[in-house]
Amino acid sequence: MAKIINKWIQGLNRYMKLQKQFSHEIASLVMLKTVVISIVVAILVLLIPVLIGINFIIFVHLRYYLLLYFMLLGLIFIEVYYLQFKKWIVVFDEKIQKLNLKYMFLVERRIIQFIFFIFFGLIILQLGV
Amino acid sequence: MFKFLNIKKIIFIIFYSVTIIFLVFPTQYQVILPGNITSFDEQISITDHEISRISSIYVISYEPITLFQYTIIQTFQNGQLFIPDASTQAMTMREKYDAAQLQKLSSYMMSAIVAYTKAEKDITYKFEGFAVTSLFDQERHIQIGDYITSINDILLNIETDFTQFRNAPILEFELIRNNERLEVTHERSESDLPLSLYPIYTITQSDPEISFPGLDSLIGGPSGGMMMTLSIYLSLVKTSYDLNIVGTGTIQFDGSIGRIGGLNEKYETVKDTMDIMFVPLEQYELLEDINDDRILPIEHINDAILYLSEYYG
Repeated sequence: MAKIINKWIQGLNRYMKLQKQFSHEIASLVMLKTVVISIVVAILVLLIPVLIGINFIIFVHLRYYLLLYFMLLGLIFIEVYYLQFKKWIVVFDEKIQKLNLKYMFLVERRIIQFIFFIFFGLIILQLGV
Repeated sequence: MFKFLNIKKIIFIIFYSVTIIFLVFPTQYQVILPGNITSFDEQISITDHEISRISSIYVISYEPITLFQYTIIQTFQNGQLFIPDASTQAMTMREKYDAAQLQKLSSYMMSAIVAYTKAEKDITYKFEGFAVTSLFDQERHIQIGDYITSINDILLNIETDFTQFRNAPILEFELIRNNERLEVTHERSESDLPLSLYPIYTITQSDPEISFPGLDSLIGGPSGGMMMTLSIYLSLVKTSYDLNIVGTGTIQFDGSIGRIGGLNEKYETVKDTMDIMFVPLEQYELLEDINDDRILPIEHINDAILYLSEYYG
């Protein structure tokens, strides 16, 4: 158990170090451009599945499936966003490639997906669906 | 400028755009779809009384539906598609929601009054006026949520005969809007839409005390009136049945049962789970072909009470 916790703490430390380096090296404008373009692409990729889900909301007997569907879309959105982010950040700033972005983004997107999962669950519990 | 475009990309963009249009483009149709049941133990609370486990059925009414929804409904044949009437088309989404909430308020108060009177329990109430739940026209001189108290100097009450105003060229309304008393004059024209009015009562005192937590819910409309009356009555006389009793129908001041919409969809909603379904007698013909002896047509709230006590009492 202690071994696993230690491994986790080491991994988190490595992530924090990379995150610090990344924030230090990246210019605000590059960051902003990358975030905007990643969000736009992720929205365009998921627009049709989201609209299909919205169209099905009127069928109330499907509501449990739809909740799962929207939760899945949320997780996929985060995945697509990070894929795009990784792709566009090196386009706007080549020197960032020298950092191990793969590991940093993996940790970051898992954290965000976990937070999304918790929030989505809380909202559903609150609505009593 | 468009050098990056090749034939594959063009086809993809066209396909993507057409799909988006298919998913968002509104049609002129309204749909009624099977919904769910609402149990009255979440809608009403009576001091020291347990609320009978009786449920009302609601359906989903939605307009305008998209081309995609239209296709799905047509393919699976699981809803009633129709073009909404002029009154529905004249109202905004917000107005439709407010109208449905007013119909529910009217129905809740009426149910309590009828049930308490029938159970011979103390209840005092005050007539506030007739709530407007549809529009004459787009001018909105008379608005959704106005409480009309008199027309052409005739004070309104539950027994007012509205046919006396049918041919009046000018209608002078006295009404309450946002707690303010107003006088509004309306000149009749041929393009006027029918005005829908619901009586609104306030319960000033009741023994045992009753409250309505269900008034805060998003589900609106008057069609739960009959079942709510039955639920309150059975709770007051402390009678319960080990049955899954559902039903639909409006309640009138004299206890008679009025018409509702989406009866077939309501049956579809509960057909697998219910033991008894009370429906308005005057609409029974809509379900006659189904030949389900759990469907019981009734004309008056007394019919439901009698049936339950005779067969399950």
